[in-house]
Amino acid sequence: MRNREVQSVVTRCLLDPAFLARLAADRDAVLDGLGLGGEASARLAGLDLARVRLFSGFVLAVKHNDLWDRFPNTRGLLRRFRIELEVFSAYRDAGGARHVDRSAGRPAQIACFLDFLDWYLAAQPETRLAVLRDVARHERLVWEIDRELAAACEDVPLSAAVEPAEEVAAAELIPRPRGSLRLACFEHDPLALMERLAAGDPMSAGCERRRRWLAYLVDRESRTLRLLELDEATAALMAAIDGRRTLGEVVREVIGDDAGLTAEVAVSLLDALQGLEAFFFVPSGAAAPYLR
Amino acid sequence: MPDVFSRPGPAVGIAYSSSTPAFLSRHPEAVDYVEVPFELLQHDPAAAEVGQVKPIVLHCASLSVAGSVPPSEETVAAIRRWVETTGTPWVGEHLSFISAEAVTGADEYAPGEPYNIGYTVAPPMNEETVETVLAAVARDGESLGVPLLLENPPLYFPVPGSTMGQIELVRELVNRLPSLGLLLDLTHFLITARNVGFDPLTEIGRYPLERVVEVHVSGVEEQEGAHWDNHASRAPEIVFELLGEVLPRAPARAVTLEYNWSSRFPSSVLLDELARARAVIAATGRGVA
Repeated sequence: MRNREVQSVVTRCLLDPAFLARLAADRDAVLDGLGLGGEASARLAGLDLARVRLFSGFVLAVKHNDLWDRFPNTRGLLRRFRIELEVFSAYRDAGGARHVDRSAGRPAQIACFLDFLDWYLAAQPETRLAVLRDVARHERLVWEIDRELAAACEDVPLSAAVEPAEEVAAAELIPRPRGSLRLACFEHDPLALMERLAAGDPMSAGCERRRRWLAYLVDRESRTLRLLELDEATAALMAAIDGRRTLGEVVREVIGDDAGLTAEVAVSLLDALQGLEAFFFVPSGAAAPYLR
Repeated sequence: MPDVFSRPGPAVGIAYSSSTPAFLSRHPEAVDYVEVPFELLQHDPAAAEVGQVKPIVLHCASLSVAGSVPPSEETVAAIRRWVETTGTPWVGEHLSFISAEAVTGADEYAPGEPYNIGYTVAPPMNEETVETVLAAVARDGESLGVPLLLENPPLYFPVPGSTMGQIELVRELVNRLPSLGLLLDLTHFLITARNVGFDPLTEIGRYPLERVVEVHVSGVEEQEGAHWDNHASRAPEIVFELLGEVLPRAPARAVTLEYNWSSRFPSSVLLDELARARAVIAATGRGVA
């Protein structure tokens, strides 16, 4: 068996996880299918397919070195928990970013890996990996917001507040985010986790685990990001805001009916949302923003 | 620019990362040169601007000298152009393969295309590889206009078809080609030692150190029962011990710290590592007069 055949088989194992799996299952049959005879099987008997798989994961990890720049805590925790190679090997097994259109660029490939990572971590029984999942999701949100800010966008002119001719009922106002708004539910406080990482904490001790909602509010004018912790009710309300429906319609979706939506409740909700300084309010059917 | 590679002692440099220009502007005297990958220059020619500040050493992972698929003429021509543009004193290339012919059968993968890993892989260590490498050096290396140094790859798994060890393979190459220079990656050597199972401090003496022109230093990581290259962490102490063993016996002209996988590698740590390397050089008596 010549070197070219050894290199061909090894290379295909690195590039084609399905081939590697078939080779692991029935080496002789697979090699016969390639026209490689008994000598090839004998030579390749010593090929450590498990280690080859990990090497393919290693190569993929190196090709994702830019994650160090954009997702330093995620990458750091992958290494801290010593699962980086297995994650990238599993990503390779799943096809990697092969289905991502290359013309979509590097961000699409990164998003593909992050989608996989979130899925992979959600499926793991180890509770400590929930920490990594929260950190990865936080860093991804910040990354997406940064990209959004960097992209050209038309800002809604907020400086010219217009008083409507008539007072509008709170329930008939349409709340619209002032800038970017993202909501995410975490099991830990991602900022606290990253502080611990920065302090060199080995993350072996437990982290407070409590379901919490965070709102990522980006003011495009000042280009600042604010993080707010929300209660479940406010988070549900904000998640339903789509910039098209009135406050009344949003509340009806969240509560399920409008039996509790009195004028007082609507005003109270309006005040709460205004207090976040994250929304402006447009009368239903109007074009200009309305600021009370 | 001064010729840092002709001094009595080896120059100390770093592998290029996106944070290198800023690092050099803040610490202009910290390094003597910058090693830049050919593949990066192809993707981002602006990286060559660092050559206005420091000498460049060109590093390569595209010639596939130990592979059955030779590089394209375009690739060799591009390497040659960058040799001229950068003024590199040599080109360091991996003693590896990066692509392979497709062994066709009923089950085809990427029909009509050679397999391209996009990363270097240690070859079978045998006579056929010796001949393949010597032919590649004669075909492509000698056309570059500067010496081609061969770098020892890390061994992550036993490669089928091997009939000799890596040190024996390298020895055979230098014996057959007296002009061949070497790039000794001490971390790769350590990784191979750990994964294969030999004592690196004992075996380093069997390496043809008299041919070593450049030395690489980087970090190592242990995961899943094996040791892996890691250019985002500091080299372990044993790598600097190996450096101390090598320098008295090798006419090395350059020591490169490869901490280029993360642009967030702390400058303070990089400065520490540079000082560490210079201290080892000084202790061996090979410092700059």
